[in-house]
Amino acid sequence: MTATQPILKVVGRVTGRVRFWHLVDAFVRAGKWCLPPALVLFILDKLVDVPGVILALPGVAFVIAFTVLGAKALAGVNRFQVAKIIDDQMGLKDRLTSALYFEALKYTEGLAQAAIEEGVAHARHLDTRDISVGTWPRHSGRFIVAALLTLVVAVGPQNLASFFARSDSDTDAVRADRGDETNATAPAPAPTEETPLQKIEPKKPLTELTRLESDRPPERDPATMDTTMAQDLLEDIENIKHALSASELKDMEDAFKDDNKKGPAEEREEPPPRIAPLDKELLEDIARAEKKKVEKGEGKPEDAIGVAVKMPAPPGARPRGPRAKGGGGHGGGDVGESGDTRGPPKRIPIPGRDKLIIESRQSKDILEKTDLERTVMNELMMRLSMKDVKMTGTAKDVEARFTPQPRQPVVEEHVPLGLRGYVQRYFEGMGGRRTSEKPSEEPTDAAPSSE
Amino acid sequence: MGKRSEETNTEKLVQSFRDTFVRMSDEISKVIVGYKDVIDNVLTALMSRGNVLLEGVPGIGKTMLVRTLGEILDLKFRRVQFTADLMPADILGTNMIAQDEAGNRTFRFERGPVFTHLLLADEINRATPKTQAALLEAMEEHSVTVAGTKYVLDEPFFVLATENPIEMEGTYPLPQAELDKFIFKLDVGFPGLDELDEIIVRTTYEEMPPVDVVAKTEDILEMRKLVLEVPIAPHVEDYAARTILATSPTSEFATDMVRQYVKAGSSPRGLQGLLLAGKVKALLDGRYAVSCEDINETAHPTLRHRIQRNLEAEAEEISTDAVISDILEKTPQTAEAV
Amino acid sequence: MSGKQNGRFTVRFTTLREEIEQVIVGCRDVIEELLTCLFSGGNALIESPPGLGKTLIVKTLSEALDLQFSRIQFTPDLMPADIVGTNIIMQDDVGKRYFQFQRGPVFTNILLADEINRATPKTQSALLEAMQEHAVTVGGVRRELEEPFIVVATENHLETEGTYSLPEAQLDRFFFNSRLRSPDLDELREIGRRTTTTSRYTVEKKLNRDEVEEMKREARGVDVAPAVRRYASRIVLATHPTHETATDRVKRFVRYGSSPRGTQALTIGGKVRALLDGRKTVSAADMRSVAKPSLRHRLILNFEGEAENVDPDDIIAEVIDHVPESGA
Repeated sequence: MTATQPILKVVGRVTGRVRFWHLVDAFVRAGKWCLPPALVLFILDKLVDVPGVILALPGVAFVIAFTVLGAKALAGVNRFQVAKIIDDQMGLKDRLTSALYFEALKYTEGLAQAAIEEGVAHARHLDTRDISVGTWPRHSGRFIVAALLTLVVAVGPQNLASFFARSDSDTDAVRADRGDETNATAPAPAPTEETPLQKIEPKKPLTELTRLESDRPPERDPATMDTTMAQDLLEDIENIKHALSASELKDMEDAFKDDNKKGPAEEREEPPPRIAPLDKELLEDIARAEKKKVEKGEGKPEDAIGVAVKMPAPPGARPRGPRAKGGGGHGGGDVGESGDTRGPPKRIPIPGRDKLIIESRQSKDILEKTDLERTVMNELMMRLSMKDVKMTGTAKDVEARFTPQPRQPVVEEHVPLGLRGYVQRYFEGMGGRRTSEKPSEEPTDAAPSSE
Repeated sequence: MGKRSEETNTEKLVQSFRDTFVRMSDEISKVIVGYKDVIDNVLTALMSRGNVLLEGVPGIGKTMLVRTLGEILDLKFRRVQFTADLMPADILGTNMIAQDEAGNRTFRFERGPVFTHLLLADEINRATPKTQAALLEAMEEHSVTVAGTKYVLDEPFFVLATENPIEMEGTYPLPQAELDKFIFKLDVGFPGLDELDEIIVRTTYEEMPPVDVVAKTEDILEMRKLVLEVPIAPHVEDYAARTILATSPTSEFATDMVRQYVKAGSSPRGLQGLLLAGKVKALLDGRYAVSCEDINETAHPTLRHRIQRNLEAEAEEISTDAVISDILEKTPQTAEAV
Repeated sequence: MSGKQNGRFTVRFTTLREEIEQVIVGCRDVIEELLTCLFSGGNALIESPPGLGKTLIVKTLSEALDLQFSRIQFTPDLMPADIVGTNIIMQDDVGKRYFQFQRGPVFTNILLADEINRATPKTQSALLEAMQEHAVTVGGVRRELEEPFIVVATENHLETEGTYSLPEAQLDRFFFNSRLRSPDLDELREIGRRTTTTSRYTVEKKLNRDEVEEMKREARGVDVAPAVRRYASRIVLATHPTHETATDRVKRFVRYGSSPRGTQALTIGGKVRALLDGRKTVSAADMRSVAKPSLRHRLILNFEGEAENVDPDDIIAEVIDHVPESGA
């Protein structure tokens, strides 16, 4: 039994912790070297097909490096080192370390002896739980970031993007469903909107859906997708409808009703963002006029529009183009997250006449069919988008088939002179000049929204 | 049983070292206002068999400090004002021709002021290099050789030299080789407002408060011996040695700041200073062995005059203290297996 | 017989060296070069920054040999009289005045002339005369110095402000030029241990005066084959830029090469080396091993050499590589 036994005991208890943190340090250090080549190789793999053997090399190197460094680190952990760590942590001014050294070197006379005894005395009073040994190695922050980056690259950004996109398309489908919902804070309601749809369990019909999907080629450029495909889609929906069981149909109907709890009236109550007083008045007038019409029974419920007010788009922003047409991709454009899924309003030239004709589309007319079919369509869209099947159609297609083109202006009123300029600028800002009034003509936006 | 008493003996020795030191410091503080760390460093140097160089403007009490030190230790104290025309003989002494009754002429050595215990060499940078060298040799060797005869100086022998930083005209700044012989260089700043106040109070009385003799020659020699006996663990030795090597720009241990701003680093005398002063610090803390922290605490006074700055450092006004702080920060304390 | 004698030289040399190493840490090569100087009857020049223990080395040597030791710190205001001594006017009983000579520190066996480059040329020359002649002349009277007499001078090249570098002719008088380097980590730690603990080593006397003289005679007595002698000469000639055998570096950086004293240093140094190795004749390898201390202070660099801070050691290394052992 050596004189410094109490010190050795304390050291022994702490050594495990020290070894652990040394391993962490070795891990980070090995990773620091193996991550960059791994990253490079993964990126390369996206462009050129890299054989698996080479891809595995950094991993192998990491294992080797970690083993070597770890072994070295562990071997380097000696009792003096651990004692020094304890001394520094507990403010003991090298008492424990010196005591161990003096004993090892057999300095046992006079002051050295007293030093050993003092060290032992202090060791006896130590509570090893007070000793915190761990410190993150240098650059471990960077290491973690780099590791995550490598992981991202390895897994593939598309997979990750679509993973995140799934949640978005739910929101979109719901919006398309709701139509002209004023949804100033779209992201927030999204989670709640999803829940009703989720009640629909994947059952037999969906296997048919799956089959459908696999028939389709996975990568389709939406811009060149022809309209016949969308036609197929509709037919499929027709077929599927009959494949649904009664309870499922009921569920779907209920779900739809839930979604539509908020009637048009409610929607109008929601305050639109940042409206200048004059505009607000104008648009409220419009809304009220509509309401009256519906109440009077003059218009179909579907004709009712909600007032989605958008402020002029910041310069350079894209208009809410095809994206807004309930496609499988992200909802809302860059320009504010209103749930407005209408197409860009027509640009009406006003040659001196004080008449402003506001036309709008009713997004509820996407399907001229029943609510149920609409629901199914939404569901289909949602699920398809989750499976990364590029099923977006251009607004052109969907419009052409599903939307009756309103020919009459919604409102015919005289526009005060002062307002005219503003409104003109407003619509200009949204999509640039139009040369024709063809509804199917699209503005400059051509890029597909989602991949 | 015997061992037990031996242990408590050691404890007692260390305890008495501490007590004596603290008493010495307090007693000097009765007379000197402020400058607590200067006083403590001077006492540390005395215990380490080293000599001190003080840098400070006139009138801050340097003479008073050394005189008081002599009084509390009952040691002889001499003061020499160095001037430009001072000759080595004025310090060391001369051979005088003496004639005895029979008419025979012989040489008799008349001892100079260096034959004392505590010597205050005031404004040492005013004297000629030859005179400076004469003093420094006596300081190093604790002996004087005149006309072929060697005279040993009494222990404890302690030199406190001062440099006047303001009047640099007509002075010969000490060259590095001579600076190296001082264990500490202490910067004595100007007193603060409270201290000036207290100085007025104390000095406008008719007499200074009397100081007691706190220790005698034997005690000092005992204390010096105890300091030499303090053990140092290998990892502390290693740390101190690496700190010294880090001051040299060509060494593998040099920091970036050293490589950029230092012309030449410390000689091994610097290590000696660090270790001895570290031993004193350990004893004062009531410990029995030197720790790395002790080395850190003594680094600045020990090394600030041993690091030679290059032109870039002088231009950018980088002080040696800053370089030392950087070295202490960057030199790791490790403990290797034996 | 002679074999036994050689062995004795080695034994004595080694004993002396080991005694010094009890006190001095590291710098074994400098200690050996210093001892070689001693037994060759030459004077040593040591290049060293302050604080590395030059004084301690020389003092320890003198203690181990039981010889008298003096140290002079050279300063700009040092006068020749401070070195050699002065005549003092005395008056005897009848009132007649006479001179009494008071000896200067040079009257010793081992003289340490510290920082010789700080003194004025006049003072330097007073020392150098003593070195050369082993005698001093004051007031017309010549006084011999006691044998053995060896001067160890030191130069500090860090602080060259206000210094007078020794002129080449004077540098040439030094047998060997040794370089003290800073200690490494282990050496520094050992120095720390030796200087801060209670153990103070007392140096023992290892050799006496007569033994030293005997060893000096032995060293001189070693044979040198003519071919090896010529090798030494060829090396020295190769250090002259105008000579046909000059190497590239010599041509580029050296203004003037070593004087014939260089061959003396090579030869006698080689003899001591041979003795230490237990041989009776000098070999070319012996000469190569002492080439650097023999020649590094005898090469006078030209402007380009000075500007580029060329180390004479590199030039010497190149010379040794190129000069053939045998030949014309």
